[in-house]
Amino acid sequence: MSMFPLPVPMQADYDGEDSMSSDKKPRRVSPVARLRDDAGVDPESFDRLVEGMGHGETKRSSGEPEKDPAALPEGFDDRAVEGLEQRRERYAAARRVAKAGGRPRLYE
Amino acid sequence: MLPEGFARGAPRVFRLPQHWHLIEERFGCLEPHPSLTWIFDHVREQDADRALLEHEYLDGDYRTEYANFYVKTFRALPDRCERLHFWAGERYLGFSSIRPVEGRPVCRTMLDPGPAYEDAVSCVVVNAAHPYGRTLRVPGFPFISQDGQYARCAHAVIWMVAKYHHLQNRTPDRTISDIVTAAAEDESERVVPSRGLTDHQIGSALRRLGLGAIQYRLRPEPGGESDLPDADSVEQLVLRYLNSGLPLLLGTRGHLTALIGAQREAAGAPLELVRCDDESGPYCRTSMQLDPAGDGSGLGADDDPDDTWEQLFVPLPGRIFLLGEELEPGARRLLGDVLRQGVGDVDEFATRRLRFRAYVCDSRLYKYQLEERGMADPFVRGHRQVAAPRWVWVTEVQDEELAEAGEPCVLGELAVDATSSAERLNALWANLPGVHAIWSSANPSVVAVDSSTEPYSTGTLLGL
Repeated sequence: MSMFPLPVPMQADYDGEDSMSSDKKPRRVSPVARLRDDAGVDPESFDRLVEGMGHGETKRSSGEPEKDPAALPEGFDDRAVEGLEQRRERYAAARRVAKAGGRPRLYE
Repeated sequence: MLPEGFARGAPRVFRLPQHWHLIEERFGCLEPHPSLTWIFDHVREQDADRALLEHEYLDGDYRTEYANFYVKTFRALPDRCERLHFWAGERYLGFSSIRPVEGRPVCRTMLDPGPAYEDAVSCVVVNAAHPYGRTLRVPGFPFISQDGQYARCAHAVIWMVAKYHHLQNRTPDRTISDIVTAAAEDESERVVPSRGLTDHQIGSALRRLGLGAIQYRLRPEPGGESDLPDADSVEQLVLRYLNSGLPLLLGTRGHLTALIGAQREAAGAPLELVRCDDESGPYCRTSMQLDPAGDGSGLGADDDPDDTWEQLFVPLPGRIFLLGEELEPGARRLLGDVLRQGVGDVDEFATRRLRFRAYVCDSRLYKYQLEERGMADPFVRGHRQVAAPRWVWVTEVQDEELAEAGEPCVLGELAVDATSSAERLNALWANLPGVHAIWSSANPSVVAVDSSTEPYSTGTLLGL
């Protein structure tokens, strides 16, 4: 086990006046530039955003149902919906009992 | 007894596995709790090869425990912690803060679920640690164990869920003291030392913390209402929220934990859940154990009665007024209405076994991810142009066989405004094979779309 495990940076890494040419010196980065870098620059962001916008061609608009409801695939039909309504009643009962309290439960 | 020079000194690096005994000896005098043993085992299983002990760590949660409780005790305790960070090669495995409280040392902790849990945990968020000027990021679910006097399991679990939503959904950051204060409003006894929280205190504390919860009683009262949800309904309820990345609070006899993930060994196998248990560890496997009659008759020979599910809380982080069970029947009707327009390709459903899955999500993230899920381009463009509230409920129509095989399985979906009333769903958009629908008024504007009818990936987090 080492007591001083973290590498100690060399002074030259920071002030480097003697060892680094001026064009290699780290430049200050403004807080805004730093955030902009984090956000990522996408010069085509507007074009990509609006691509395909506007109304597409409507081949058929809404109207009265045209299909016989009985022809709907399984799961969309009334029987499936009725089963879900019954299940919903049970969830409602569970919430009702929880809300009413009853025998207090203590979590330790 | 505290470790020598606790929290003082300098950073220390441990090479693992050869230095494990030094770590264990250091914290052995704190009478390590099962959760600390769990943490050590967990990082060992991931081949942790280095650990860093961060000294003088100011853990905000322990500081509030100290300021509001330990400062009033006779014990001479330090006001700061030590924090352990773990790595396996270049991979940062996470951190665990060690508080100087004997028998309850695990304070704020964030650990990568690792290969054993990563497919099962859906409530996961990135947290950053900044030891000695470095930024380290780790995905996981926040963990803390109770200190046993100031806070109990219920406080710890509420803290975990509140921290998760803070990091994930930008809800306010809460300390253990905030939770103790929120729960104390309904306390009829002294607040500290705490004896635990009741159902009512948990619900009202969550509401005060901005995470108002829906509560479901799963075990009937003796002589009370017995028409409670059956096992299948409870499973669907749990999956709906875990698929949405919303943790649930599970009440068993005398204990509260957080459900944060689920998995099946194989199609049709029983659901295995992952829970975060302050008494055991951040990621623990469990199964659903229900007793619908409330008299023990529903339990198997191997079932521990103490693990019977009694109550579920679903804390909601935003304006999610509509619940999944209120959505389901109406969502099927709306999708049926779209099909009745006669525009789409109904034959696409004929040879498939269908199943429906619902989840609630941030609409901004939903729109962002549409493309990468492989949804056909006209639908992506169409859905993105519809104004949406922050939270939307999505109902997917899936090919069951493909879903169970983990393949892209979604044939279509419907999005509903989560601020809708249960009586009148405010539908937003839908796509089914060959048809795109947008609701700008009561009736959908249905457009035939010439696009691929290939199934695309699910937006549910677990795919279950």
